[in-house]
Amino acid sequence: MWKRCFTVLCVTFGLSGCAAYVLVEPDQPAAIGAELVVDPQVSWARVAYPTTNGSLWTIDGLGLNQLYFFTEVEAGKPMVRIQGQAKDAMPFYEESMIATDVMELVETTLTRLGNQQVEATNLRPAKFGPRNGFQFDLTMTSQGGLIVKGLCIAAQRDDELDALLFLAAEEYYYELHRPVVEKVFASIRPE
Amino acid sequence: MTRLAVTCCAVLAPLFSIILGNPAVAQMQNSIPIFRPSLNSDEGGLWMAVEEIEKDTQRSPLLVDDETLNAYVTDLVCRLAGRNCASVRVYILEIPVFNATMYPNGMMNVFTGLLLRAENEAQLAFVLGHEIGHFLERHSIQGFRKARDTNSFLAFLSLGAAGAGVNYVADAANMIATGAFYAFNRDQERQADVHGFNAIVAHGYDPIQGAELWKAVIDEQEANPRRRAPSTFAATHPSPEERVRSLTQRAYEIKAQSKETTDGLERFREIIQPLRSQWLETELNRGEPEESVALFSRLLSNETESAELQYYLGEAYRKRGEEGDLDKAVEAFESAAGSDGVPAQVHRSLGLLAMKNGKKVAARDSLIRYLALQPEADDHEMIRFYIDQL
Amino acid sequence: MMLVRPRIAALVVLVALSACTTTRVDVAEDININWTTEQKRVLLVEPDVQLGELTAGGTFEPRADWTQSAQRYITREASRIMRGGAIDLVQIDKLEDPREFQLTKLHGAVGQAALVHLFTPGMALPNKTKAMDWTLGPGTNIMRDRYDADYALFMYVRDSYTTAGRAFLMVGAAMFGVGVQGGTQVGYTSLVDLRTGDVIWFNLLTSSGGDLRTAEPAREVVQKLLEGLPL
Repeated sequence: MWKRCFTVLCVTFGLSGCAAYVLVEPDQPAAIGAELVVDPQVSWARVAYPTTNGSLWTIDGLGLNQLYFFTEVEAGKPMVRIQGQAKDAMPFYEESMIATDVMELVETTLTRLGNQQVEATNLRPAKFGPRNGFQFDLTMTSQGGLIVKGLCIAAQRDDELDALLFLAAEEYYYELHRPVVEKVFASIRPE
Repeated sequence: MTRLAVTCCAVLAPLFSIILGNPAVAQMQNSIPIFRPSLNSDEGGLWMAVEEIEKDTQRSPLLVDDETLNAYVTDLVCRLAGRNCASVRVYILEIPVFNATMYPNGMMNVFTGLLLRAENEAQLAFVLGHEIGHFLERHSIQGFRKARDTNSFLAFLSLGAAGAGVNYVADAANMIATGAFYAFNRDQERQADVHGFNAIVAHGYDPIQGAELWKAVIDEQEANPRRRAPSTFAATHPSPEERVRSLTQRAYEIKAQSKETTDGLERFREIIQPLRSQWLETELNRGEPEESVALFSRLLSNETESAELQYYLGEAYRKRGEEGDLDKAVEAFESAAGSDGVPAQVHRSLGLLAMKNGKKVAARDSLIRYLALQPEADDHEMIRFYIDQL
Repeated sequence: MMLVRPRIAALVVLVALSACTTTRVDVAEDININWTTEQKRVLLVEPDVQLGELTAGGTFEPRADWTQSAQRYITREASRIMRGGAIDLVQIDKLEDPREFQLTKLHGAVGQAALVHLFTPGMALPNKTKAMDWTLGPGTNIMRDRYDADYALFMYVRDSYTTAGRAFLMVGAAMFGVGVQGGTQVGYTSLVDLRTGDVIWFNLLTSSGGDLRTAEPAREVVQKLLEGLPL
């Protein structure tokens, strides 16, 4: 009945019935970036995202949890570039960076995007597929005042950075999905 | 396909932010407003929306609840506000921006970025007195009306929000509705300056301090050649140089009357110093190392022996990374290492820099020293990994 | 949420109200209502109600008098409806506990997810199989215990009035209280089981008619906001 009462226009898409989210099947390896795959473990919804090499997954919706894939971030480029922002709005990745610098890069990027009290902790070595990488935890307060926790895994090769970043509401959602995310991280491998 | 996806995300962007409005029912039992607008007035609506912001602020994770600090700042504000003391409620927020704001209903937000940048109580008092001036002169409602009438409403509110450089605690929807953040015009700034100045003179503070602080903040901003968006300060304080001149002039006139004045340094330091490390850290994380260098250098010039400040200055140089900066960083770290109360992180910083420079032995020594001092350091696993590799 | 800065003036969905003046859509899973207390009790948690005027210049100006009246009418009518089912409605205007406050923030996020993924065509989450599959998690038990209430009702209303009457409704933008064009009314109510945190019922109301500023019309709006409430 409600369909008869009003027409819904997807304004910015210009058409109705546009599908913004695509299913990520749990049991098929999913490509991330040009060279890597992961095993999703569970069903996710994927949406395009304007990062350097953008892709973004969610389980319950973007306001509740997000898994970002920043792959092949080149030296001299930022991890995230938002439409309409100045070129140097975000900090750049540098080839000379070590793990501690990359951790700061993520912290500063998150801060520049409007999060408060961003803090990265517990930096530790981790396997990024066959490569030696590192992992750290995050906590922050989002713009709307929601406390958020995160997990990041990254590795560097030549002049490029690969990083996966999971963020979720501290209340319930982070602990709920963390085991799955850790398995996704552990499944990173070259295609 | 790509274009569609990108547009999709531009649209989704606002949805990513969690905005939860708060009920407008406000029972501010401890407030006696000097003036309560009638409910059906435009000011009444503004007031109501501001009360929602206050409610959100009271429960924000950014609220600093240190009792000693709150008592100190609230007491200072109360003295400066005089008869209007009961109308003002102070909230300290952990935001690394130089600012304090007053809302039309008497709520004052003081950012830790201001507490970090003030060198003494007189400087802090000037800024707080300045804000009280805006409040007493009802500049917010004037601005709100003006903006509404000129129909540049949303743009001017976006300026306030964006100009902050960071986002505020409050529900953005309510911010927009209230016009709480906007650029005061020159006259309003002058009026507020007069208030601030008179307040510090009346309470026996050194009258030059206001100008000193403004000058320091201007210098800090100008240290950043790539300033991307107007800072809160720049966006809301037009023609700062002129105001510094005016304040300086007035201060000299007062000084000619040669009364005994104070800058309230000791008490200020006693309260602020124990809490400062966290704010220095947050300042660094802002990712504006040029400004941090300017700020930490200035603070250090007043406290040359402070190992903590030397450490943070070193970190700021390291992050700024201009030609010669890494040497300056090492110099600062080595100064810190020689001072009392050296933070363990100094050895970490020295070790990591040495490591990046290929100085393996020095790196190993420093990192081992760091872990000896802080075996349970937050990143000890990674540091141990580096030690093993070196 | 965390990586993206919101664009304040962006819109999501434009809903053109043509023949109909009121639309109500609700979603619920198979609900099994049960009570642990002798006296059935539901919390009305920090109802978020704001009424204002849409000026000729196109700005939304909050009106404290209308808002206060609307809040009174909503509380009164909602309580009356609950009493009909022998339920005590307890209104909490301000949660003091920081974790409870975070739960309301989380609910806001959940509400937004529901608005986007349930009610906006083309935006469904393909990995969600159930109709209503959102929860705040069992952390809500702290509220259950503190207030001895098994369920919580959340309410969000944005309502604007012009002399010219209502034309369009912007659901997404309305969530931000921005640029709500024409005279419009947007409201949603949700019901949360405080023992599990599950959002078991979600009701979205959009209307070009109705008036929350005066008693009788307001009652009708509240009845619509609670129509289909499975208690």
